[in-house]
Amino acid sequence: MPSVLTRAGLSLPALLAGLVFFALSGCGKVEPPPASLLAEARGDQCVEPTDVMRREHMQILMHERDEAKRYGRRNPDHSFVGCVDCHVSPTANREDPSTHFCMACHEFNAVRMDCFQCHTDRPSDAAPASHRNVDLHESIERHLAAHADASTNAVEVSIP
Amino acid sequence: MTLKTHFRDIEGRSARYVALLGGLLVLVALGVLAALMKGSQGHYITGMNNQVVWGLPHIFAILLIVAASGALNAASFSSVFGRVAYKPLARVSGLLAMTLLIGGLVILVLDLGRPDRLVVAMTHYNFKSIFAWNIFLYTGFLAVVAVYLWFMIERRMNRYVPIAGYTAFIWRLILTTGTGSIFGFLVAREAYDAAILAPMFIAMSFSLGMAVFILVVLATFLGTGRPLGDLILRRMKNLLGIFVAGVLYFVLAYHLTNLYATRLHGIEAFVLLNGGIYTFLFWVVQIGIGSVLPLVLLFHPVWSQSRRVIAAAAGLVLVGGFAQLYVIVIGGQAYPLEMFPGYDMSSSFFDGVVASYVPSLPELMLGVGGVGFAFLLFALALKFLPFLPASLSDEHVDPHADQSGTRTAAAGA
Amino acid sequence: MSSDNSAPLSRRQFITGAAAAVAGLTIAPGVFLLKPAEAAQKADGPRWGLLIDTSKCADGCTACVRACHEENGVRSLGRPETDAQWIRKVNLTERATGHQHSLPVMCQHCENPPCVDVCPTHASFIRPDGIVLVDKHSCIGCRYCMMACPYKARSFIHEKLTDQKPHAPRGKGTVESCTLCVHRIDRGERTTACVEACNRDGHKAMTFGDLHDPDSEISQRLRNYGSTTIRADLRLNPAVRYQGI
Ligand code: SF4
Ligand code: SF4
Repeated sequence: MPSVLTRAGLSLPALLAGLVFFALSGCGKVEPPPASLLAEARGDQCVEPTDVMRREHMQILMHERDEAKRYGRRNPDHSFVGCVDCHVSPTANREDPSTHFCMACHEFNAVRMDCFQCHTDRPSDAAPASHRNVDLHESIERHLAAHADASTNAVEVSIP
Repeated sequence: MTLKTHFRDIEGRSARYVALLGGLLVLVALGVLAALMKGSQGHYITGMNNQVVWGLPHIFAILLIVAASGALNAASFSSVFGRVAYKPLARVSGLLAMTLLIGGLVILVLDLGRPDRLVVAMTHYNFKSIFAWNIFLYTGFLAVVAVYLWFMIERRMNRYVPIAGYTAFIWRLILTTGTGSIFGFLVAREAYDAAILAPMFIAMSFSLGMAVFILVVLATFLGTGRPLGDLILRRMKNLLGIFVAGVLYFVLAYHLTNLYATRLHGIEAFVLLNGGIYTFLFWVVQIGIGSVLPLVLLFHPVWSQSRRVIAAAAGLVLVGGFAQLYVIVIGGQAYPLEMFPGYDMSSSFFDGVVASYVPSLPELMLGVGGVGFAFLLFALALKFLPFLPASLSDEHVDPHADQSGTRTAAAGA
Repeated sequence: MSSDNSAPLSRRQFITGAAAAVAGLTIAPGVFLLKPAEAAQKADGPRWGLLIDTSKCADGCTACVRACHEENGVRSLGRPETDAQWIRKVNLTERATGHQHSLPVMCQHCENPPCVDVCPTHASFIRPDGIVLVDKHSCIGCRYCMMACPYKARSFIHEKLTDQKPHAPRGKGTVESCTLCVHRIDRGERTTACVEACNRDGHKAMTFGDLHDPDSEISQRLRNYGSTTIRADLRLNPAVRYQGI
């Protein structure tokens, strides 16, 4: 029993160190995909040199993220919306990475990103996609109607 | 020198054991499936919504967490209160406490909107949040009980067992206080804003933990064919009865204090009189089936002699505890927030009406998955480490009984 | 930026816009640093708030609700119980008298926000200017803040979203609520979508402004006519205040 514990105690740090090494060994090597896969940016010059952006765009975004979010100190040169506005074509489609600048490179380098789970993947000037969704105010009106007599229900509940 | 107990891991090759593992694995698989469904579809496939934000998974999780703290009863009785009779059971008790807690935590984590961000939860603490405190309390509990178990198993460390036992005992009290305070600190909701919720959760941990423990002891001893005397069982069932009565006392105190405050009459009437399913669960399941009936069974002079009856009573206590948590967690959310006293309110966002909540299959799957995971860990640990005493026949339990037949091969707990 | 979909942005255009905004922002802290000496009340920068005069709020009018949800890309997914609502019209009936009126309710941007207190990861936070937001980068979706909010102001995103607005990121598994149109405020605008809509429809029931600036319209109205807050008993000191409840 003690031997089991000692063995586990010895091997765990080694294992962790190995994992960290493995994870780090992949860092810093970013290969751009073939030019044919990368959509042209719409501006004529990026806010930082290309190789800096290629390596450090995430650090730049992360670095200023909290400032922007928590204090409202926004630097439009390093804004996420700015990146998307310039790099992503209004007709791009995230599902087809070859049309989408960010996705093309991330797919090519097999780097997972979840930015677009919340941020829109389309530039501000893109026409909104046709919505399969019901309009909210329609549903609000439906609701107001459905709950018109809700107050009687509430009386029952809140007066013992 | 007290009596030495011989601990032996279980063989783990019997068809019954393999079948048990198989069954538990199926439950775990169901839970994993539910988590994957939630992850890909989102929470709309569950019964939870913007009104009832915590649902069935949280009830399972809280039940497991509360029971985990209570499962440590046997160990505490032996190390803290010097009840030697419980000494042989201390290891199982510690092990069960750990696995139940892990099961509960797994459910909680898998029900997060972003379970992939668990690392964020571990690295960004808001020390004002009772929730963040609980993350510490839970991981700390696991560590403390692990050390406690190690001290019990490792002969050289045996003399430190009482210290570890005390630490674990105090830790579990704080842990259950923390769990109760998750609700107790919610000033906004009529059903929750009560300091008494914390001691009530402690009482619940004693009774629910004891109930689980009795069932587990019965199942493991009978399942592995090890002798189990009536002496220890009788003690445990008497304690269970006392704990159930204790919970009843707190429930009574909670509702009486609430009834005293006019502003809380609404929520009280909702739970006690006209809340539909919640009123039913409160009176019939929590009070009737889950408290009064088990009390009768446990203290009936004839019935309580039977192991079946004891097992049934323990099972009913668990059912009652489940109902109690359902009423607290879901009922408290279903009752509308009273934002404008003296006014009836209505809106498109379900203000002023009792929110609907229908538990869904994925939630149930996630819940049983967590339970399955807890017991899977438990069953596996029994196979690989010597947690289970070889015998709990009466003479092994009572230190003043004849000591012949005990061996000192393994270190005493 | 450009309204023409295919027009390329020139670097000049891009940077000029940026520089202007940065200048505006860098001046602002300096301005606020000077202010305390002038006005004792204006201790540390602005605190944005709303004043809602319920006597002017028309029954059945949902202009503010519509405007907000359009502005921020909040749409119904056809499942009312799980659909997000950042702002809603609440209809009130006084039990004693039967008197009816209605008012909009959104995140009240509490000064002592329970949602921030309970959030385990600091995802719920309050900005120095009093706006309470959810940082969706660190929200784990535990929904404890929804349990804690006395105003039912928050919504959990129950399913995958697409077509968010660039200034209002929102996504599955996180919690969100009214942002007091923080994107407008950071751009230097001094109104919100709901206030704008209410004024446009001629009701003029809502006023947006700086509660810390004694000369602002909202402060003057508050001083002259008084106000109340929802659940004032909780002493959360919301930045959204009401008249005529
Ligand atoms: S209204 Fe609710 S969500 Fe908004 S700040 Fe207050 S507690 Fe937080
Ligand atoms: S749901 Fe998100 S914002 Fe709300 S308490 Fe949890 S982590 Fe914080």
